[in-house]
Amino acid sequence: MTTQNKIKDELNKNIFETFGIDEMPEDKQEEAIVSIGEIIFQSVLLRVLPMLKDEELEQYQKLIEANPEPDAVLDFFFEKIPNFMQVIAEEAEKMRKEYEKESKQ
Amino acid sequence: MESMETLATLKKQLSAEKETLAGLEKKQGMLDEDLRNIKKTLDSIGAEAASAAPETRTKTLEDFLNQKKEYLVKRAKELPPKAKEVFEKTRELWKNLDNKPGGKVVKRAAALGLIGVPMVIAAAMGYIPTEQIVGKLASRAVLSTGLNAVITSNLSTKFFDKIQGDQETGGWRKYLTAENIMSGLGIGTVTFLSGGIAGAIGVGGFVGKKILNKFFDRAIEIGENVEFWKRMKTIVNFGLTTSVAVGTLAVATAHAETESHDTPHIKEPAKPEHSATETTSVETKSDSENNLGNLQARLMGKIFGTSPSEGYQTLEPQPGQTELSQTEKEIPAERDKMRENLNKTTEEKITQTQPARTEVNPNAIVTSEAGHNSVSGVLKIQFQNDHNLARAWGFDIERLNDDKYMAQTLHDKLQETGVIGTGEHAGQELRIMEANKVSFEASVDEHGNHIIIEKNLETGQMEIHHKGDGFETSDQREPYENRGDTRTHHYNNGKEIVEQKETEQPTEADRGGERMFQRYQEEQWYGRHHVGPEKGEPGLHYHHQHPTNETGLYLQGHEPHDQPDTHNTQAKTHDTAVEKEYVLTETQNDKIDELEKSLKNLANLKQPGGHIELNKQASDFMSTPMFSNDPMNQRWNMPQNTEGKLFNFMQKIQKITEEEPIEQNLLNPRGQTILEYIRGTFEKYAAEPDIWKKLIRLKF
Repeated sequence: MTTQNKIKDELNKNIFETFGIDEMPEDKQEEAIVSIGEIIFQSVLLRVLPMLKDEELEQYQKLIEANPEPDAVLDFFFEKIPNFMQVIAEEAEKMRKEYEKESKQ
Repeated sequence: MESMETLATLKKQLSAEKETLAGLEKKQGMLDEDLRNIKKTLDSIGAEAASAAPETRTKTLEDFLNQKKEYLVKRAKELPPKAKEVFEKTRELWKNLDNKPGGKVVKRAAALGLIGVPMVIAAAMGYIPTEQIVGKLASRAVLSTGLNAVITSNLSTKFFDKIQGDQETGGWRKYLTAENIMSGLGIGTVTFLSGGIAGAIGVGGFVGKKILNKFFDRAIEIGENVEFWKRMKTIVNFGLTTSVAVGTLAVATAHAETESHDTPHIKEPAKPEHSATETTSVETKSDSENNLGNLQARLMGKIFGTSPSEGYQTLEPQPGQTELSQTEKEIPAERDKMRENLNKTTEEKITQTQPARTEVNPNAIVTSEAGHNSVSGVLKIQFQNDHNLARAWGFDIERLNDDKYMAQTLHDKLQETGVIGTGEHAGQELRIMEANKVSFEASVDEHGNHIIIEKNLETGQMEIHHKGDGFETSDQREPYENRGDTRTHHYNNGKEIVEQKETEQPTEADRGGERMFQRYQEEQWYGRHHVGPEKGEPGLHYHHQHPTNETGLYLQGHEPHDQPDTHNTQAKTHDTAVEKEYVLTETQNDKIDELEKSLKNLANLKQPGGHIELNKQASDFMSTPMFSNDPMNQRWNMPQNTEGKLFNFMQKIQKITEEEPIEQNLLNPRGQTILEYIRGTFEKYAAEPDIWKKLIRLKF
């Protein structure tokens, strides 16, 4: 396989194909998506929470106690964490690769 | 009597054989039945096996997710107390979403948004194959998932509005830059890249562009959500056109993949104890379709709507990124450390990855615009849009929008490269004389020196202004002030002649990012032999040019493109080898134009009644680089097709000239189209009478 094809091939393996979500029954798809999303979100949280300063943690706590919508939570992190998008993408990709490795074993 | 006995014996034998045969047939029947049974059994086993496969896969996934959850719980315990507390509260919030009205949909949309980040970025850059996108869009089964949901939902709201809002200031690049894409994929920096290689690998997007455009066009024709599809088309085209960015992404991905074998992403999770998974119930499709898109729009709007400075800062240096991945336990000082690293290593990276001295980074080209008639004005925009470059030139990126600071700093820095005069030429500046004809690009050469690349977009001629170059002297040099945009300049034996010229006033639509984008698209698509749209179809008007470096870019001196015919001139650049250039005679030019017209006419099909219809496939074939055009290649050998005819004609030319088409490869990111090859070869061999005669006698 040429380098170019190899790269394309790698990029083709999106998270849905890797996890076989598109082959699952619809009800399982939904469940899997929510679980994967939840894990990515928690992984992201584990990365970003320690990056917050004390006062920012206080702000976040107040926000979370107000039972906000998820997009308000994301707003908060987009504001406070300069590379928040990168962290999300890293965690999503990391998870995909881990699963790919595990499912081949 | 004897014969009677013989007959009876034979009858007995016959009867016995009949019995045997019947027995055998019976056995055969039984065997057949056995066989059928066995087959049936096998089939049922097979069916069972087949039906079990998805379950097995689902089970594997469930196990994996459980392991991950266990691992995350364990990791959460290691957080500092306050962070741990809010982590738990956030988990509760997520869990309790199920109890809120519409909460399940919100949860699913949030999940999709998070999962979709790398995909959407890759798709926007053309890296999820377009045929796959189209295929998946048609598949109802996956409409609710991932990219398809993103694409089919009303995600335009914030995502595209944000981008469109910045269009006039060229702000797209703030979002769709190699840096953002790389960081979006979590890939990090790529210090080993060279522009040529990156661009070459990225070229795969071009074929996709054709296919995808057809898809978008169909969607637009259907008339539903037209604005959305138009925007989608534009943005994806931009992504696909930005070959350097895509290529950078591609190489970066390869790099990341290599790294991933060595990088311990995560500790081995503890063996699962099969704790109950948090169950999530299923919303009806209509609910999800109604609500999913809106939330996803917001999520993606946030993802892409980061501020320019955020966009830049997502270009995290590899060391910082590795550290993030590997030492997640040591996170407390992570952000500050990362920010420190960011500045330091980005500077280092810039020095290492700057294009070679004569290489142009098309991602950074700023085309002269009406209203940006001073070079410093154009370069100012470039620096404001490209923070890497601004840093490399020593600008304080926090002050890029500070007019006073920029004016003074630009003045000082551009004096170094002779763009702004010093001494007796103080107060003078190189000017852009005519809108959309000349581009100026600030860059850094392989030694870290500041350079300004001036490119005539009509002729492809380039001039590089280096640090230490003197200010070019000319009686007609423009004072360093805004003098409008109505002059054109020519060069005659190295002297510039400036003359007043009536130029069409640009419309508002010509201004800003859209125009830059269009110009850039044209340059990318039609390559180095670019001719501005004012002169007819781009890409098909050649001057005889000489590749002078490994990137496949062509360097020329300031030769007048309107030199009289039959006049040989000396090509010159500031620091490149001098080569002779043959200028086509008027007759030769006419012949080539005529040939090209005939070739293009091959794509016109005469319909009954005299109506001419464009054969889109043939037309696409002509304008697609040959070596990006693999899916069409099988048509090359079909002489009855336009493609076949063109290919045969090209082969004949090749036989005469032994001129190989320019193939896209690692050093040349863009292959020639068949028309470019034909025209280019004719022009090249116009200077050789014997070959020229053979060429013009060719029939197709």
